[in-house]
Amino acid sequence: MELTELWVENMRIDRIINPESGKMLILEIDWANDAYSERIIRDCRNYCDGVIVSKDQVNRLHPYLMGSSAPAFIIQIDWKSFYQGFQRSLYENSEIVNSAVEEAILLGASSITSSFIVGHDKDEDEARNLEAISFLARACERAGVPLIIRCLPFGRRITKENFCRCVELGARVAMEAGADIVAIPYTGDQPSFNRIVYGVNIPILLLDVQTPLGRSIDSLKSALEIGAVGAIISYETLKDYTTQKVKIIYEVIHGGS
Amino acid sequence: MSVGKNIRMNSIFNPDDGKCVMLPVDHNFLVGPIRGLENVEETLKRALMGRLDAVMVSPGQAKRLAHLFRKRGSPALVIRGDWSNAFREKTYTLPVRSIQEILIAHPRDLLHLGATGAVIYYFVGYGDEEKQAQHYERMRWFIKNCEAVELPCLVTVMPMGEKVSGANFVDFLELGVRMAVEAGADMLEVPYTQDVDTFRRIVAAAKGVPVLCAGGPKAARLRDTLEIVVELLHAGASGVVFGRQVFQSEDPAALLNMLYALVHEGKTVEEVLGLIGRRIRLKTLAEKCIGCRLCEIICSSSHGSSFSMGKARLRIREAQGKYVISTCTLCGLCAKACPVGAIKVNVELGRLEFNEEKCIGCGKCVEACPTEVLKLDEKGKPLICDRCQGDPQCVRWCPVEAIIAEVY
Repeated sequence: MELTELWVENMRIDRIINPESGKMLILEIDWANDAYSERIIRDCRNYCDGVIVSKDQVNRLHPYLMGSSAPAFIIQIDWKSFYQGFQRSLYENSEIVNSAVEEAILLGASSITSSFIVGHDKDEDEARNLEAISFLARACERAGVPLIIRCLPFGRRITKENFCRCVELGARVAMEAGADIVAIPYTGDQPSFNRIVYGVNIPILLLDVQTPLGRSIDSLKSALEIGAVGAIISYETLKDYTTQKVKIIYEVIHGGS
Repeated sequence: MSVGKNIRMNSIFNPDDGKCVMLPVDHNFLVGPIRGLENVEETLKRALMGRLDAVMVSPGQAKRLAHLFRKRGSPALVIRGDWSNAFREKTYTLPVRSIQEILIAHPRDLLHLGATGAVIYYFVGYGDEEKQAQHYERMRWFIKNCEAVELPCLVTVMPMGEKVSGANFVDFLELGVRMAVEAGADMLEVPYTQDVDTFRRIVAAAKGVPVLCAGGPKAARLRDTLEIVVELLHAGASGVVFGRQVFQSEDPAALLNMLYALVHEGKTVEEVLGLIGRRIRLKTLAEKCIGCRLCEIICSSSHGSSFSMGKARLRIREAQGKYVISTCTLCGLCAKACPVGAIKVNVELGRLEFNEEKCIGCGKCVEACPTEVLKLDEKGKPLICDRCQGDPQCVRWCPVEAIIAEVY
């Protein structure tokens, strides 16, 4: 990787990370409809460091994303969209990935995010998912854009017993594929989460999803103690959010309260 | 060969001898976390203290660990261009149900990450012919694009799939090697076929393309690992790609130095183990002994032409349900007892030396031996332990490592 691209990538990451605490809180709002997403960003823009939005949402929400104090925005690219209209693998059609990344840079995104589902019912789907995030990582490397991969253990193959191992597998594979930041759900205890932080060796965010092991503010505190650099909060928290609730999470992450 | 590729090939293979010692650390990408690679950076830091020619990594690791390869003399980076779930056996998280193999990067991207070479798998033996054809097409596409950016391509050929059995493994491997060579592979990695003759067949099928041998799971004994390397080199291999053997060992750097000495310096196993020309002490671990008496058999045969336990220079006895191993302790009492000086203790090499011409067959040495391992042969001459001139065969053949050679 060329030196210029490295510092461009670092510069974009620094836009998301809070300069005082070195941590970040990201709100994922790409699932919300127009009115609700606007409400979230209007209410919480002072209590987050970044927002995950779709490309279309950038057009609608851009008044809230302007100015030096506005949160950085991260564009969500759905890996499945790469396969629409194509039956074959991505290696011959990697332009589709490159153009998606280029489009995100032109809009001014500080980062790109996609998901890696661990536990697909079909091995073919796992391979396609990994292929998509790998080519996305290559395109991001060329463009100097950090890539955040959200690892989601999901499906019938995930049990309470193998949940931790699946999270670890997902985080490792995503990092080896080229992710710059990995977001994972809490594994239920500090030793298992610590093993992932130690092994993956890139910044880790706590992912706010419903897991077999439950979730709470204590999980967040526990993950931050071990070395997580922040959290992504999503539908599970934001479906019935209050500004106060988001503020508390923000303060836990940045203030350590 | 184009200039760019020639330069890169000679960074992977030592230009003086055309051989290579490669360390793969991309296992986490394929099977998830494994022992020895809990933290790849720390493992690599330890390993890079040893001598090696190239390291095989995933694209993510290449980006993350670039700082380890910045200085002059660093090993070449061979970056993986594909992914497969084929190695996720039942012991791993989410075991494989249907073999998948995908490309994860354009060779141009790997070059961009600082690759000196690229590596992909080629599985041969699929039950589904269409899947096999698609896999070949992907390999061909990748190699063609490697050629376009002058990046040497290493193809790891693996018999894998429904058609493969123990009986046809070598045939499929040979077929896969031929297909990879025809597709334009610049170097090959293959699993060991478990014997030299069949491995020679594989090397011959490669038609001059360098063949590296994969290490596979960690062997029980270090000597076994090293002896296989010597066999491979005799069979025409251009080097080794040893991963788990190295990073699951106690001292990865020391093992890499041993492999390097075997591959590049033509040293023997004994030399790299540091046994030749050194003082050796035999250490016995009676609790490990299973009483097979292979040590006695091999001792007698290596000092003569007979398999007679009565002529062994060590003794296994059973006492109270346990085995006791008696070996020469180099106490020197036999030498002191000898009236004609036929037995001497060589202090420098740590072994007994016997002058048959001087010996008068009085048997005083046998009487003096406190461990009762010294005995006379049919001519009345003592059977002394000479530590097999630095390579004790009892140590080499013991199946449970109950006898160990210690250098002191």
